[in-house]
Parts: sequence; structure tokens; C-alpha cells
Amino acid sequence: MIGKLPQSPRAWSALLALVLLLAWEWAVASLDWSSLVLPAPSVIAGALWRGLASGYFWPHIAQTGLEVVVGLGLGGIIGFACGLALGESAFIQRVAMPYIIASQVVPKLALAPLLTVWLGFGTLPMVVITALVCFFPLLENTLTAIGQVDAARLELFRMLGASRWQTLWRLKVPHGLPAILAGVRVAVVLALVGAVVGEFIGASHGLGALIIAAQGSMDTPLMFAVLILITLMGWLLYQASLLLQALLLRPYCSTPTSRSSS
Amino acid sequence: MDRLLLRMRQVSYRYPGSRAAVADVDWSLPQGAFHCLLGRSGCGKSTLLKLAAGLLLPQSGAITLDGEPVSEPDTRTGFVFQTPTLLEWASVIDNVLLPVSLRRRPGADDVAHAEEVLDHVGLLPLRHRHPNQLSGGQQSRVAIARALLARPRLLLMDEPFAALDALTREELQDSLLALCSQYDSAVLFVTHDIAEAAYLADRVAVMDRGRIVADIPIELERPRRPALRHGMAFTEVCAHLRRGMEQPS
Repeated sequence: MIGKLPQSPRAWSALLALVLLLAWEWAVASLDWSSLVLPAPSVIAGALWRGLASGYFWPHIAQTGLEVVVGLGLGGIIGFACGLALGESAFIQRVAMPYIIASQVVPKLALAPLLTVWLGFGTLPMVVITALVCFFPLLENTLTAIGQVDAARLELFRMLGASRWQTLWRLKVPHGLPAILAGVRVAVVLALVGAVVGEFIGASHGLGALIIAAQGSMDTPLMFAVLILITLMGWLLYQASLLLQALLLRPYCSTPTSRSSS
Repeated sequence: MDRLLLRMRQVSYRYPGSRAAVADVDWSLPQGAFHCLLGRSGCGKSTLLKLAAGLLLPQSGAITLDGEPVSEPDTRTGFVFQTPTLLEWASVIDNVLLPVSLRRRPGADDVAHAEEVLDHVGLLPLRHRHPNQLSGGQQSRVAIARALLARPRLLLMDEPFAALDALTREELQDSLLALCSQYDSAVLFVTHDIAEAAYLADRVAVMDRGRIVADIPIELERPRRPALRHGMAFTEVCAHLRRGMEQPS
């Protein structure tokens, strides 16, 4: 062990994390900072554990998870479908594109107060915000991806007498799939931001609402604990999107290893 | 015997906003023949091939295939592009079966037929691989197998071997000649390579600025054998073709 440093980058990453946490713990203890400003890692871990063990966190986790998954699904599917429609019809693209761009320039999170006026304080406005946030990356990537098929492959499909529908589903979509999945990865990250920030503004449940509640009661360790939960949730979602990508792109790869390792 | 398969009369085509890519071309391809369109880049030979395929329609003149006017791409005509244009997400056998699978779900006899064609191009053991696991020459073979699947009377080839190294190109030329006589397909083959045209063709149309400027029959023994490439006769044919390309039009 001694005299032989570990070679693996993962081991070094873990070591770095340990050093930073210990330095943080030591700094808080020796400089006597108030836990209102910066709680020690041990205090945060305690808050995290109590929240999980008492079951206090779980409904909030479930709430945010539901908003993210439903919002991502809805926004993603609608974005994909609109991308296909716009990519296939130059006319639709010309008519709709200015409106779509305008709708994307509007900061969606600034719509949260309006949506709570319209839809109340429940799950629905948060799902709508998340879906709005996820819509554009899928639309943009699908539109670009299906437009990038080379002329020779399109001519091949014409030579083989393929219908427009077949050319779309047998050529353009599979050809664009890697780029479409890149859009999914972007949307996954944005979805969590959308849901949490939406909850800041107009929700009584969910991890974002929990942060606001913790702020109201000056419970900084709780804020950190929720931050850790959100980070973990984002990491899990991102890993899930990588898994989906690895599954769907398996036929494209010559070797079993894919680009899935992050 | 020498029935005409493809016939082009006074065919002209102009891309919007440029001069004529193909101008007043007359050409006939008998059944089972192997003709090359030879010319520099941008001389209109690929455009002429697309006109023969029905991918483009001439602005004037007429093209008939087996007596019928060509007004749209004919699924019984095989087309091989400059790049192999394989579908990366599909296995070799699925790529070869594409012409069938666009029409119906391939049955056991379709698969057996595709395997037979793959055997003819020498790729049967690689049928479950994916295109990016194949070399450039193997990808070209898959593209040829896909074009041959429907036993086309007419095979149109647009510089299919241009990106390959010299040795692989010569191997593929020999395979192609064997396959064409086996499948009894007539071929119109576009190339800018003089030796390729000389080795493959019965007859060469030399093109320059959209027109056919020379019609040169190739009188070399058939079947062509690799040793032919080193003979005097072959060198003379190449020199003849070269003069045809260089003469001012």
C-alpha cells in the first residue's frame, strides 16, 4: 500500500472528495463559523439522515420526481413530434418557426407565477413548466438531425421506391438518433432545473419548495441536505439517459462498449 | 440478342442557374452490355446516370428502358453510389435485404436469397456484422449485393470504387465483371479512371462539358483477366481513351 500510489482516476477523485470534506469540517470547527452560514459536513449528513429516516423527504422527492418524469416525457415527445413535422414540411416550418422561437425566448421560469394563477398550486403547473423547458432541445435536435441525411442515401431510398413515411422512419430518424438522444440528455438536466425552480415560485410540495421552507426557518443544514438530494436525483436521471442511449445506440456500435461511460 | 435495354435520345438537362450539365446526348445500351461513361469531374456523367435512373427527368429528349419511358425511379434498376450508402444501424444482411424490407416483411426465402447474393460477393461469413466493422472494399461489396438482390436488368454505378485503394479496386473490378455475367445485368458505369474504363467496358462514352465527345469500342478479350492489365493491348486502349479525353471539343 504505502509507496505505491493508486493509479485509478476514480480513486484519486474519491480521495480528493475526502480531503475537501475533511478540510471543510476542520475549517468550520476551528474557525467557529455559525451553522447558519456554513454547516459542517457532519451536521448536513445528520440532517440528511434524519429527513430520510423519518420519511419527511420522501413525499417531496416523489413530487419532484413525478414532475420531472411527466414533464420530460410530455415535453420530449411533443418536441420530437414537432421536430419531425417541421423537418418534413418546409411550409409548416416557415409558418411555425417564428412562434416557436418567440416561445423559447420567453424565460419559461418567469411564466411560473402566471401558470400558478391559471392552474393553481398543484402538480400541473410544475409539469407544464418542465415540459416547456424540455420541449426546445428535443425540437431543435430532431429538426437538425433529420435534415442532415446525405443526398445519396435519400436517392437510394427513392431508387428503392420508399414512401415518404418509410424514408422518415427507416432512414431519417435512425440516422438522426444519436443527435436526438443528445437532445434528450440536455433535456434531462434542464427538466430538473425547471421543476425545482418552478417549485421555488409556486409550490408547497417538492424539493424546491422544501428549500424555500428551509430558508424561511433559517435551517441551513436542511437546505444543504435538499441540495444533495437534488444533485443525486440529477445524477440518477443523467445516468438513466446514458443507459437509454446505450440501449438504443447498441446497433450503431461496432464493439459492445459504447460512449456510455461518463 | 443485342436488344436495346436503355435508350437515350437528344437528352438534355440543366440545373437551375447554370449551364447545361447534359446536352443532346444520344446513347444506347444493349441487354447484358457493360458501358462506361468516362470524363473529368464535373463533365455531367453523374447527371447523365441520374437521368438514366429516373432520379432526374430530362428537360428535353427521351429516355426509355425496355421500350418504356423512364419517368420515375424504377425499382428494378439497381443503383450503386459513390459512397456505399449503407445503413450503419443495420447488419450486413439487413442492409442487403433493404429493397425487400421496404416492401414487405422478409421471409425465409428472401433471407436465403440475400445470403446467396452475399455468398456471390464473398461476404457470407460477415452477414451479421455492422457496416462500420467492415473495410471500405467490403462495404462496397455489400452495396453491390444490395443492388443485385432484385436481379436488375440494368445496374447503374456512379464511381463506386473511386475511394478505394488500387489493389482493392482491381479485386472489385474482377468481382463485378464476374457478377454481371452471372446475373446477366447490363451496366452503365461512371468513372474518371481511364484504366478502370478500359478494363471493365465493352464500349466507352467519353464525356466533356455535358456532351459525348467520343464513342470508343473496347476490343479486348472476354472474360477479362488480371494479367491483361500488363499487356500491350491494354496500354494501347488506355492511350486511345486518353486521346479521346484530351481532344478539344
